[in-house]
Amino acid sequence: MSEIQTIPETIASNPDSSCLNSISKAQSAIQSLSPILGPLPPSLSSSDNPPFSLLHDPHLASAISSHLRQPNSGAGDNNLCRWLYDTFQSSDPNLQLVVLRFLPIIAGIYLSRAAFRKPLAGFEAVLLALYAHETTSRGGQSITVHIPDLSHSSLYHESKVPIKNNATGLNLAVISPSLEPLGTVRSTKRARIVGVALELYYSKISLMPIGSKIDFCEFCVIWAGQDGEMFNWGEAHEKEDSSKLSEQGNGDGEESVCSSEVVMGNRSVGEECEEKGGRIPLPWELLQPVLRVLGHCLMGPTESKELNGAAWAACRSLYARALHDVNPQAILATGSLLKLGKMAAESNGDSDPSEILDSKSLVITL
Amino acid sequence: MFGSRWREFSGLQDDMAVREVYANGLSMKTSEVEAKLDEGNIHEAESSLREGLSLNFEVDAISRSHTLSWEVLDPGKRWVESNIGKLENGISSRVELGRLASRWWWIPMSRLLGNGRKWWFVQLEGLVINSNGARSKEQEPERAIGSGVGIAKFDSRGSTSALSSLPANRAEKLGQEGLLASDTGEEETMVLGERSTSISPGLEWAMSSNSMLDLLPNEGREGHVVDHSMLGVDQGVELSCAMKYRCHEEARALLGRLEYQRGNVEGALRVFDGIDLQAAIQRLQPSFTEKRPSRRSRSRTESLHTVSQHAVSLVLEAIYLKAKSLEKLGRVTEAAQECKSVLDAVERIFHHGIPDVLVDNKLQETVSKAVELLPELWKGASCYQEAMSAYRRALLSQWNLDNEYCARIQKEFAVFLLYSGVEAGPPSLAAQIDGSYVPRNNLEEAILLLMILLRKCYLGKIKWDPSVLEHFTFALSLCCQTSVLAMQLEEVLPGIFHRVDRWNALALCYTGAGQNIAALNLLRKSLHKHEKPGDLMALLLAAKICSEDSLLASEGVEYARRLIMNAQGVDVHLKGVGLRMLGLCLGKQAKVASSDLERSYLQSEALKSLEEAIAFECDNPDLIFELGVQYAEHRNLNAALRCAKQFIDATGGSLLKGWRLLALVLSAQRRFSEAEVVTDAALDETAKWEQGPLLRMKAKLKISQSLPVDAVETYSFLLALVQAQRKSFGPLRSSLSQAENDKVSEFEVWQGLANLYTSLSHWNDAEICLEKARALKQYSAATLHTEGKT
Repeated sequence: MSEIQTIPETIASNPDSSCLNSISKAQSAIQSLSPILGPLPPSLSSSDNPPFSLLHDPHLASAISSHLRQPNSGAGDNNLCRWLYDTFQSSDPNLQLVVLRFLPIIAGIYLSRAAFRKPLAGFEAVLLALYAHETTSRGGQSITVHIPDLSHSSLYHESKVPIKNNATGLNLAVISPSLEPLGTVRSTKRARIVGVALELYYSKISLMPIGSKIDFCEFCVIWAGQDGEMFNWGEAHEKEDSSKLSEQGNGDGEESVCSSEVVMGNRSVGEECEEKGGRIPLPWELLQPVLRVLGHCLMGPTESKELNGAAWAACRSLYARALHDVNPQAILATGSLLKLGKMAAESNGDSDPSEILDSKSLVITL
Repeated sequence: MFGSRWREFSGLQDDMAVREVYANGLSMKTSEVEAKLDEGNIHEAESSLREGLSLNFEVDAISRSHTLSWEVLDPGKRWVESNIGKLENGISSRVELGRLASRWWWIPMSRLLGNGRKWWFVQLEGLVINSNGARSKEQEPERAIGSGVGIAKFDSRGSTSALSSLPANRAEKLGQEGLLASDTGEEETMVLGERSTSISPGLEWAMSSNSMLDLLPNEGREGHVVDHSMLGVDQGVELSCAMKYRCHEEARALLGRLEYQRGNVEGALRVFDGIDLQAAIQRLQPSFTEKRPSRRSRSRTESLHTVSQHAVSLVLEAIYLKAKSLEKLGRVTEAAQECKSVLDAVERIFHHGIPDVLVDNKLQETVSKAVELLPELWKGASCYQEAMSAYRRALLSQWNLDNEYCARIQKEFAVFLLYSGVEAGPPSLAAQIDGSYVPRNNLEEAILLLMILLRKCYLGKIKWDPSVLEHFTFALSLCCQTSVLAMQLEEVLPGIFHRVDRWNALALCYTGAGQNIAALNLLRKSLHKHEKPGDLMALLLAAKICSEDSLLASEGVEYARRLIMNAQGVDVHLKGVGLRMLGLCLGKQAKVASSDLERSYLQSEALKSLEEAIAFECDNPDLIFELGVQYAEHRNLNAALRCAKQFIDATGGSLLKGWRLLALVLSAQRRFSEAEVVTDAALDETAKWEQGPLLRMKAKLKISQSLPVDAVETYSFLLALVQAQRKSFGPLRSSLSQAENDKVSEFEVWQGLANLYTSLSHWNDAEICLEKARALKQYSAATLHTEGKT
């Protein structure tokens, strides 16, 4: 939990009025939360850094997430949704992080439920607030990337002589098209709104607690609606080795059990999810931010075994889904992530280049 | 000053001479010298040696690369010339009796007087060798050095006689490696300059036990003992004042490193803690900053450089190892700070970057390692912004990194940029050059770095790292720039990929970039019977491409059948997709069927396989949609209607094509008003920008219902929308939207309006519309036809 340190530092370093303001806002948020969730964990109310505790308290997180998973949680008159909405609108960055922390659950349940004509206005309000925030902070502009071309010299080129080359233009790629303000969620815009909310989530992802990222990965498996166990190369080998006795049948071992538990868990709470439940259309405008977040979960600087496991499961499922959809971009992206995971698993014992040569080769012996 | 004197003294002008001596070894007058030595006529022996004689101990280092060469001139008495390790470095040392022979690091040897014993400390490649020459037999060598066992070869005119091994009562031999262990004195005290530092016995002598190295000529004639464990200082022995302060830092550095290498991280840290880097740097700095006054004094300056660099390298390495120790103890932030101080120090010493020449390998290595380690430490400490700037500093400052280091850092940085989720911000203005490409965000910078890495691989500067290509693939697929990726894949040198893998990857890229035919050509190659005809991914993609083109559909049927056949075992999940592709291909094929019989046969086959596919993938809405379309083409409108409704339900109405299918099926059933209701509902769910196709459909529905005035109104909405779209900055807005492929063209609208006015007999309006249409498309059959009517 190394990332925990970042917020208190910022708070401690500038104890000015905005910071005190932030604390008082957080305290009032906590107060308004208690009638919704019932008694709050004592660590929260007595915390000397309320925004931080709101974001990182595991008990609070599980309480809120189980509330969110209730069958009617997304309704317009749902108090928790209202709380989330108000908290986000408080325009205090630390409190906004708290709302973003629950975005995976909100988006996950919302998208999976969208097909069932359930009242979802509460979720939609929160998602629209996130969308609007991102729209204003970006000024509605699109995010683009100029794909570099090595024939243009760049700051990382070894020769620092600028080459006069205007012949080839740079390829312009649109990462996220421009945004227009939306007052309601039209169903054809649903994926885009969630996608933009995920873009916002991604921009703050280094501040998110691991639990939130794990939630996200679990919903990826549900959204993909595909079991990716057959791509579990690494672990399949281990299992073969360890469980040759128990014959076959172990092929879909822990991971799939785990993922089906997630599905089950979701179903038992939100029983409206039909049969397999939860599989949603994954247009690129949604899939792309999903893949970016997933990339972070897999290869980012946070090291957590649990997150890693969840993220690989998600990656496998999304790869399987990409194959089923025959979506070349998604196949390339998820496929490369899978291969990277395989390489990482194989090269575990590599020597550390930062280590000095070991004594044996250093000592001058006779 | 001393450097030149020493050169004179030794008679070795440069490295070549050293090498020569080394090569000639004992070729001359060895016996003469030996005789003189036997007589105790040391001065004469020395002069003989100065004429070019040398006694060459070739120490056959058991370690792989180190060769020790000793020129021993007057062993133990006058001075010792030693060349150890890489002779090219010309590292030599000497001790002169009675006078302080050297500055410690310059000619890194010093002398100790105490109880009539002499001690030399020889520094070499960062190791200090304590050489102790016992003058005569009556002095017990083993007392002087602690004890040890020597394994060495004494090379004399090609005949190899083993060096004697010392009485080694307290020594142990360490393994086959020839490492020597000595487990001697328990209570050694190290007195360093004014400060007397007492180091716990376990610490310092353990060191020597780790690596004691003895060299003793046989028969105890004149012994000299080299103990490169350095500070094996006997009780009561005092280092001469020349060693004073410097020695303190550097001794600690060495001691700490030995501790570190033994894995005693905490111990190492205790030793390192006493090093005052700032003071050491200040002391060492002047020698680097001074300018070379003239060519004459060149050698002097150089040797100064060399000397200082040894010291600097030792101290810096110590700080680096301190950082490593802290990292191992989990104190990552402190480690990062230490590591940073190494780099700061280097920057202060070398104002204008590290020069290519004149730098000691060891120092360069330490610097490179510190440069590489720093960002990783910040990352570990979750200080991501610091990590970013450390990466940038590593890559944009002049550290004289070699390719491997640089590539590793570039890769790590690219990975960090790609996945960390922390926005790096643009690089500092200082790093930007006019006219050069400056990345504006993380993705651009990561892609740039990965491209450079790939290029380096192709040029053979670094070895191929498959993960670089995978990161690159991920980054470019996120940007939908698979055509750029394809170009890079084509550049990959042969022998890295299997050709089929490369073709398949390229095919994916081309399909992603919309170049289906190029992709299919590649897939045909890789699915050839001599290659990998059963590759599922290739079959899948090929079938998919073929299913979109009725002229290719029959080929696609083949692929799909092969796919179904091969989807077994773990791949059985692809059977459903195979059936779906088969259905789609058959359906497409039916469109170009030459006979009615064939068409209906193909259509029913298509339906059959799609229905079969449903059994595998009941929750795939796309499949339901395709089934609906197929039913509709088969004129099974009720079934089509059911599918369309099911599709809208399953997708929550989020896909426009579902609404359109429903409306079309309804209108095919002549349920126009219901179709209009559906269209209106769809319009409600669609943002203004994407309403074009729906408005067109609505207009047509109005016409079908004989409501031309309403139709005109709808058309005018549509016209406004289309014109607005044309004027707005097109590509950025809608390149990702789903309505991209079925945009309504302005021409179409004018044409539709013209038809409408014609039917209303509003000839003037119709003519205006036709004019507009013709301005957009000059020769169009439809326009001409309508014109004829008017």
